[in-house]
Amino acid sequence: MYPHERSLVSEYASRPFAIIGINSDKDRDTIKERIVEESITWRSFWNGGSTSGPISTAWNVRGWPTLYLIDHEGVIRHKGLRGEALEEALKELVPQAEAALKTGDR
Amino acid sequence: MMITLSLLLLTGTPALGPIPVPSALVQPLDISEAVQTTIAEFDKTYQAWVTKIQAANPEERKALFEVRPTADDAVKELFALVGTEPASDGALAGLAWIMRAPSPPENAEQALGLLAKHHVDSEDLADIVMRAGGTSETVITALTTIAEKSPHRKVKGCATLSLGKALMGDPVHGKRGEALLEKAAKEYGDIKIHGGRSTIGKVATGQLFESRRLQIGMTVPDIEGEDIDGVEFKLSDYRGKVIMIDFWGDW
Repeated sequence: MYPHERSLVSEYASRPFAIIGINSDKDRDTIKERIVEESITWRSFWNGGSTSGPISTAWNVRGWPTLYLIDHEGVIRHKGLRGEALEEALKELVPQAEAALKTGDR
Repeated sequence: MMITLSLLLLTGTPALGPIPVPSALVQPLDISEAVQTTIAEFDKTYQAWVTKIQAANPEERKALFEVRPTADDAVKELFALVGTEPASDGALAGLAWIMRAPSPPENAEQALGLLAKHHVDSEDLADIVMRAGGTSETVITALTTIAEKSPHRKVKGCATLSLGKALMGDPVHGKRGEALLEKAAKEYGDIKIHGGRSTIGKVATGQLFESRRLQIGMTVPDIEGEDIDGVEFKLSDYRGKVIMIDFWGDW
């Protein structure tokens, strides 16, 4: 998972795209070390140290990883996309976000 | 006083060696042992397959996944056994096993139907009903019966939750599913499930939230919290960007 995410981050660097994680690991210090080791540059919410934490419970998440893709207007556009399908979706959505930035239509 | 007396009587009984079991006690037929044997035989086959998978390289693994053992024969045997003594403890164990066996869903549905008919008083149904799925008439009828007739509050709650989850999002029964989840959260919300890691209330509320707020085309609900370094932030801070929300863990 990490290599694909890293490549998305570099591919869309300086474009309107962000990965926001919800991390469900147990130990904060351990995951901080892993973040350095794996060059994880995206920001994550802390899910309270458990897969049964408050955010994943509220969102009814039952499998990891679970992905949601949100467009620039905050609308849920895809759920559970992976690999190529995910890249195709980004190719469509990121330019839409850029177009909206240009026209100031936010 | 009575207890002391009978204890005295018991301990006072001289040792008689092995007590012959009167044949009348063996009747009715006890199917528990046959049920356990059938299950154990399948588990052995399955475990052998798992061991092979673990030792296989990726290519072999693909081929092995094609020949995953199905429990169809074991299930057939179990149904035959259950048929002879459907209300026995052995039948309960057999039917519970069928509910999680690798075999077509119709078998699990049939097993659930029999459990609702013959074992509605069993406390074990709490965990068993959580494995139910699908929206077939058999499942709906069985879970409704269990939710209504079980004498145990936890079983009632689990059956209500399970049926609600199954029906939620169904084009025909969606409204009923929603009502059941609301009922589960309100009346049974405090009951612990999943080995104590969650409650009926949390699961039912999560399911309702997902159905009402997290569908494609809906505006994403905001998330407020702190990052791994403890700094507060909000999902909406990133509005204007395309966001990939990733529920992850380093495992």
